Amino acid sequence: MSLVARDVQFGYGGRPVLKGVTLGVEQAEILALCGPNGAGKSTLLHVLGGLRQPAAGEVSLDGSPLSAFRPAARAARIAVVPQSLETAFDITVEDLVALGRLHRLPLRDRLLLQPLRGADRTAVEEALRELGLGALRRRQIGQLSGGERARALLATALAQGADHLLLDEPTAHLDPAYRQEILEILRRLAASGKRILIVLHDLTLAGLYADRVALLEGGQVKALGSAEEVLREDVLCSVFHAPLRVLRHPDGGRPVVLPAPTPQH
Amino acid sequence: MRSRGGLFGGLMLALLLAEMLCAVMIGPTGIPPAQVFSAFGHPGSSQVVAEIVWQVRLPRVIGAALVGAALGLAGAILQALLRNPLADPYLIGTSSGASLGATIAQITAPGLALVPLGAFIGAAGAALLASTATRARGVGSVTIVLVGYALSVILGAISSLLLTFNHSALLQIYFWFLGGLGSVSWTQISLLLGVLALGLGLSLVYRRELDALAIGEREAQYLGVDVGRTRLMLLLLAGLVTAVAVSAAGLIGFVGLVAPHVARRAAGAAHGRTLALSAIWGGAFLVLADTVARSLPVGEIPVGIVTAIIGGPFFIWLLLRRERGVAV
Repeated sequence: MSLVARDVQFGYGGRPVLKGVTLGVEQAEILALCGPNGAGKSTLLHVLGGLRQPAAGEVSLDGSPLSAFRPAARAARIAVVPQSLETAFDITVEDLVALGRLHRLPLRDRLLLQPLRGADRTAVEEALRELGLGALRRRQIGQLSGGERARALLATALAQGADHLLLDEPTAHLDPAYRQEILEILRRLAASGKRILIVLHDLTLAGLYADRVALLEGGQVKALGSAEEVLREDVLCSVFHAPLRVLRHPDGGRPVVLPAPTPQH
Repeated sequence: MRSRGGLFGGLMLALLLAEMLCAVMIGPTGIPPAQVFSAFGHPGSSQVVAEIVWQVRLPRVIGAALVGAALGLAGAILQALLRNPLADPYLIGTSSGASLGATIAQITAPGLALVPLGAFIGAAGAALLASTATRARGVGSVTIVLVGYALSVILGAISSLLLTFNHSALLQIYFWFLGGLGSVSWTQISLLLGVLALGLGLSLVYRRELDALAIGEREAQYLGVDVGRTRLMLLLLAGLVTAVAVSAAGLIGFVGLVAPHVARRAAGAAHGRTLALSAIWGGAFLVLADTVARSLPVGEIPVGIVTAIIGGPFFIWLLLRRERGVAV
């Protein structure tokens, strides 16, 4: 059950982007969504997040069509972490993370202009602590480093209290240390039972951290399975149309994907 | 944090009231504070000082404070909805929409007193147009302001065109456009007060939605905001607040630009703090501008000239800073 796409089709202005995608996110797993540029990864994420309606097929949450959920009810179950935050206005880390509770604030508190309290306050504090943002809580988002900002966005999603986390390349702008940090946090969250779908360009990171990998190409799922099953040279070369080599990581033997440049004289 | 914010807001409000008191003292006949206070106690008195205070100075100063507050609040709401710190009801066509609506009402149904309603419909329609036209992701903030400005010019041109062919309405509307704060009545003040209270109250209830929408519509949707409904409601609210301000005092620019900036500088960008402060600063700015406008040795000039002379360079400075990539 939970969040499932069944034969989902979607296009922008007649140009098909998703051509029949079937995919579900299991409990306590990290599912990495990989594939070439333009394969439809981000689009699939937005369809799964309920931002876009499939033209055909269905996205369902616990068996009910996702489109039947009101925005607040959907936000209680699915949190989406954007790749970056480009805001015209600075906002403090604490105020940003507090927005995670927006979907469930009681009417009475809203009308009385109450600050966050009770379970909402606790959820925000826990999210800040979980991502080590306690010392940065009063900082403006614009003053944060890329890695700190990525953690703040993740904390906002965490404060939402949703059991599904969908992330759109959260590590794209980060250096290797921050990438690793974010993925370690996600692994911890998955271990606590969250269902995590993450769009990843970095196949090696996918190999190291994902429980399952889905390879998307031309709007279709070309391979879906464990990292060992999917990240194979023959599969990757045919999907990316480029020579790629797969090695084993010295620690643990997970697949590591490397480019195979044409030899120079 | 909340009490500190409240304390700061209270302090600003006290400063505004002190400024208003000074503004009541200033005029062709200077009135010392003691006499102002004694006149406050005798609203119906036929004494000259009491008459000046109650019939000339007070409505004007309170009117300036309320119109400025309305423009500051409308600016803060519109800036969040357009995700753009350069938005201002005057600059992006909301005020021109109000005038056009008022013009149409005056021409089509003179004598029916539909001018305020026309102003509201025009202002809300223009706010909707500006926000819908620039809604797509990735539209730069300078583009948004240019689109809004073009809208403002177009709506202004339509108003002029209509008036060219309707001389009978010209005089009334022209007088109404120029408005100024000299003609604000106690009835208009109570309307302004009511709409401002509604606008401030409702926008405060939706302060976190405004925070989310200022980040982006997509992000707001994922956070559980019913974006379509909330956005529409807040745009109508900004239109309503702008329309009563324009109805009372005509077209006054830059108050809605300057006030939210000063508010954010002082208290950060979270709307729980900036909305009320934008209204307070907007009021303070317009009271100051109006006092200057009516105290010049050359005689009184329209207050919009003063706000433009102060606010215009500020806007250009913001624009250039933004071009250089400094967050505003």
